[in-house]
Amino acid sequence: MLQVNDLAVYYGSRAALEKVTFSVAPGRLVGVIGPNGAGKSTLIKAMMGLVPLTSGRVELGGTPIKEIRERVAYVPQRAGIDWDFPATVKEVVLMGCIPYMGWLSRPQQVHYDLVQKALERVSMQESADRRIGELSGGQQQRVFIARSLVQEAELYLFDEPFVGVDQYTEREILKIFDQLRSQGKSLMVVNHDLGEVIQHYDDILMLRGKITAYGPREQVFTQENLNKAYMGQVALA
Amino acid sequence: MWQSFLDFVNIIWEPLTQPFMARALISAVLIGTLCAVMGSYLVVRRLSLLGLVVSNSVVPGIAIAFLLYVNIFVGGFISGILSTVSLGWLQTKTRIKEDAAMGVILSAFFGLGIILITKIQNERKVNLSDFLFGNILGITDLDLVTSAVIGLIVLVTVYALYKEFLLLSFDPQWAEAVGLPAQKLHYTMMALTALTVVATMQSVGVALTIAMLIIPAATAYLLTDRFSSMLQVSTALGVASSVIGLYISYYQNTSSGPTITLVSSFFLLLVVLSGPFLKGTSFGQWGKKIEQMVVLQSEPTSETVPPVLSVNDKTTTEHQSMRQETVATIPVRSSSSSNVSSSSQPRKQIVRDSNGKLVIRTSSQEHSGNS
Repeated sequence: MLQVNDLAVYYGSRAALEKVTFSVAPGRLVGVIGPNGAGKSTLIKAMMGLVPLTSGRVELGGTPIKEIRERVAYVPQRAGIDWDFPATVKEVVLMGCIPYMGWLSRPQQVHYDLVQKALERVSMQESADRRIGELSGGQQQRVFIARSLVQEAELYLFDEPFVGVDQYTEREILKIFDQLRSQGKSLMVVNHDLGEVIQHYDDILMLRGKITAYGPREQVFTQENLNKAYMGQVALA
Repeated sequence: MWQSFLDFVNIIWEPLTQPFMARALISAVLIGTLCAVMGSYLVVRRLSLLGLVVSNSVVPGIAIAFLLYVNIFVGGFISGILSTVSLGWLQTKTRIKEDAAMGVILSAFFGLGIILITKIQNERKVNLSDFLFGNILGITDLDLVTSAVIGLIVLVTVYALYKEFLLLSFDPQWAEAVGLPAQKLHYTMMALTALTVVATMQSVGVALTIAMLIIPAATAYLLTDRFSSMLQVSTALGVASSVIGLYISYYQNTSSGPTITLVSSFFLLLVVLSGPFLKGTSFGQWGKKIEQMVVLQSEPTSETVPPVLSVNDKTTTEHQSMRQETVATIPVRSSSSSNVSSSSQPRKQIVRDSNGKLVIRTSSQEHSGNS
């Protein structure tokens, strides 16, 4: 169970997020939506401790996330990375093992097996030895997801995983979401797009500096709530 | 034939009978290795200029060490570390961006260093130009031992922290997100860079240490697909350029630092010029692109060919065989590149910032409609 209590993030004197309180049960897939600048990515980064919290607590199963960060898998936005970095697909996925490998240890066969399994789950096993710079946007995203899969975490945080990916990758990612959910993991997915993909989420968390609505998708994803979050600029199809 | 071979051996061997030249050779191998390793990290992290900041910033430390009669390696190291700390401080406390901050720190430290050295150079018999441009032939036994100890520290640390450094270099934010002490690792890396610089300064000089750090690493960056092989190629190039530079410097009586720099630049130029022929390396992408452009026009797409084309990090130099290979594989290449299944096509990453988010839709449409 993920619990976020009264989380607030200020950039200077400007509040990016305020009074954010919610919880996510195991086996739930939560879509985080909201307009530009609503604080979606900030929320994820704040939960991971990548931006300083002005106030609030983030706990996973009663333990502050800061102390068990290796149990949280964070899939960042692809654009934050230099994809010219000299590394192969396999190497990048193997990096997902580092958090729990401990200092001075080297990867063992068990880690390579995990990498192989993760690559198969995202259908990238044939590209294992390719240089990451040669991959398409969708393939890059799947590499990132594979890297989070080897972490075998309890909570998965995805920051805009569907940006710039092809249809095939979109289906693959949704398949992974289903698998993780049925394994009892908690998932939070930041989504900018209000398209078809929304239909796959269990719960919707609407943000606009604070939570404007949170609950099961059928109840929350309404024109009225969208108007509140997006200032009436979005129409449901 | 035999005679010319013996002459060549003699050209290599004869200088080594003099102790100062033997020391210089050991030193060349040592700094070639150290600089190549630390430089590889700087290059992939886009922190090359940080190497310049550190190398120029050791000068005031050296001068002060002379004044206080302490070990100049210690003085240089401390002042190199101070420069990276003040760089970080300037960046976090002000809105000044990294590049400008580097310019400020570099010139402030260097200016102070030059003033101090010119003040003391008469009474202490210090030669300013030796520090700026290096004098690999003037290295003493004590210098060599100190450099070797420093080198051992650097290499052992890099070996021990290899996977953490790799993660830090590839994705620093994620490293932090999963709980690695990213900040501490960064400063550890900077300390190792400062150690490398002080070990190098007497051979190459602070003004050109940046060349030893960056040029072999940048050359290797063009040739390799994996960071581990980049380290190896970079080391080989670093050692080769320092040793060749040393011999040229001995026979032509040129300054060692600039000579070594020119040799490594020559290697870089050689790789750049032969780039399109080096298929199978990352740099061979050029060649691929040209092939795609040419072949796509004449050949229709066939979907029967497997889309995935594995790329090995071959760094062979057999140009002849590679050219033949290039010709033979053109059809496979073209079909793989134009295959309808978009999973096989190398595509430029979509750059996107928080303001440009509405472009998302358009780009995914482009993806599906692009063949």
